Amino acid sequence: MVDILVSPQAGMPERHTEENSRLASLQAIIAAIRVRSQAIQTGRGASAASPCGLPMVRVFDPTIKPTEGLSAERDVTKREQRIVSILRERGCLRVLGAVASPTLAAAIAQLFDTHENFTKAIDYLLGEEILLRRQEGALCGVRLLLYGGAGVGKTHFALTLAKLLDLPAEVIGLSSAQAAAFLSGSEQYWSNSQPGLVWKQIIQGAYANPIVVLDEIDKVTDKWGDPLGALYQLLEGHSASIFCDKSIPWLPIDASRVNWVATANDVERLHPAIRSRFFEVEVTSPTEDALRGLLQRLYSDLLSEFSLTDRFARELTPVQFRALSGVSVRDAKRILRAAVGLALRDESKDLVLMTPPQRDVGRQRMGFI
Amino acid sequence: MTQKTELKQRQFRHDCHQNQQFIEHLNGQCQQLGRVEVAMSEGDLTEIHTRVSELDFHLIRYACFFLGWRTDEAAKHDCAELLAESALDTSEKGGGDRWENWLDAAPCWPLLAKEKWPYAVSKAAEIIVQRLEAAGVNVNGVAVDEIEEAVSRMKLADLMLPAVFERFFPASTDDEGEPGG
Repeated sequence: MVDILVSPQAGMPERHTEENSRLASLQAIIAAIRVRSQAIQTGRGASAASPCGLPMVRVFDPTIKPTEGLSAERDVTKREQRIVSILRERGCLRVLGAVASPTLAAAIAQLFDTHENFTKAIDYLLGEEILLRRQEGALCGVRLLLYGGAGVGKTHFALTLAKLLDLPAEVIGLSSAQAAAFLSGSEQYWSNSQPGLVWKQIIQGAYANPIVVLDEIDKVTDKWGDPLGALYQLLEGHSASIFCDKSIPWLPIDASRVNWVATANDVERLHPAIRSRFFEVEVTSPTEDALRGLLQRLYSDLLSEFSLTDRFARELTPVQFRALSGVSVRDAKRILRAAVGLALRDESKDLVLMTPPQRDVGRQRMGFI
Repeated sequence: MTQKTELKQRQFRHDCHQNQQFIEHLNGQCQQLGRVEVAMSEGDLTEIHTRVSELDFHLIRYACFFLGWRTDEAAKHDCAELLAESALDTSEKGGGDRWENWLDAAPCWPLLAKEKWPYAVSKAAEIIVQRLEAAGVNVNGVAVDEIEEAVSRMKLADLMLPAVFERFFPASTDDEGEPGG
């Protein structure tokens, strides 16, 4: 699976081809060691027996050099040199995480317990895993669109998935993303031109297949350019494999292994061309039992996060469950956090859950308990 | 326990150091050599004989040996450093200029580089590992093996432009194979 480069790196002076490849090979090995070390240090890949056992794949062609520019500006030249230096330092190989295996399947299957209302999405992921296992592959190029009511745990699901797969994840709130530059970089002619998230994740990150969460993709604003424009290319396997960031147009990078999880409330607002690129899963509100389990987990996680397991009761009471049952998961998380904070200030052991003002007239809500 | 610096004195264990006025003796011998040189230029055979008889051959032999040894050490050290530098260099220009300047310093250096290359290669691997670790990179046993293997394949020709290499190591004078090979 490792395809160590044997050709000279970008920007190197020309030498004998054979000799040149020896120095390039040595530099590529050093770059791969740096990348593997980054993967280990960020806490991912730690499950691998050894850092050298991590499979690596090529994400760009190291023989490609910057286009001969006509700009005499010192800043432009310096920026170009910096980019070449980053490429040489990090090399063209990146770690391939989430290698298909029974262990990975077991990790994904844990989601059945924590996210019962995402069964269809989990089944899809398990199906991908078992297919890839036959090819000794890794979970790459997943395109999952989760849609449904607000606060049912779509983003939480995506982040939990990233954690279980041991992959780095980046969440982009598209309701506030201002331009396509966020994903695919800004044009070279801008003085503050810089690469976008995909380039940074792949080139400056350690993994070839990170997870990018496109949060609230249906609420995207095109006031400053269409942020989804780049997605037409990035979500299509072949074109993603030769993706060019606008600020570094001379270097195609392989972004086809990036895993995409998008969330939306109203999927009808999306362009059909974008929708057709995703596997769509409608997420419903969790059942009463599932919700109770979810609320308890949120509460337990909160106590663990702040080392408060001995300070408060470990289980939510039936009254507290009832108070939280009418609110979204997102609101429940916020209410629990506020209640714990308030109890700490009052040096009390009792949690006062303050539910938000009634928004859904069809549901019974509890105020202060 | 604090780490103790390795003291340089252990490099100087020759009999010459038994002389209590060692430094004065060295200065005196330098002056003596100057006098021999003058006598030779004047063709004064008696003076030459007198001055030569006053030379400490034991010391001169040791000084020659010492200079040779230190030059060897410098060649090994610098070649290892330059090789590690080239391997870790991420600039567009590469480390070719540094090699050219080093080899150009005196005619003895290309010969020494060729002769001391096997040592420089093994030392360079150590330096690369140390520099990576100092930069916070996790270099485990397998990674060390990978670096050592790749460095051991390196030859001087890999590190400079062909024209520069030809200038210092012309093919006609290279009867024993490729320098650094």
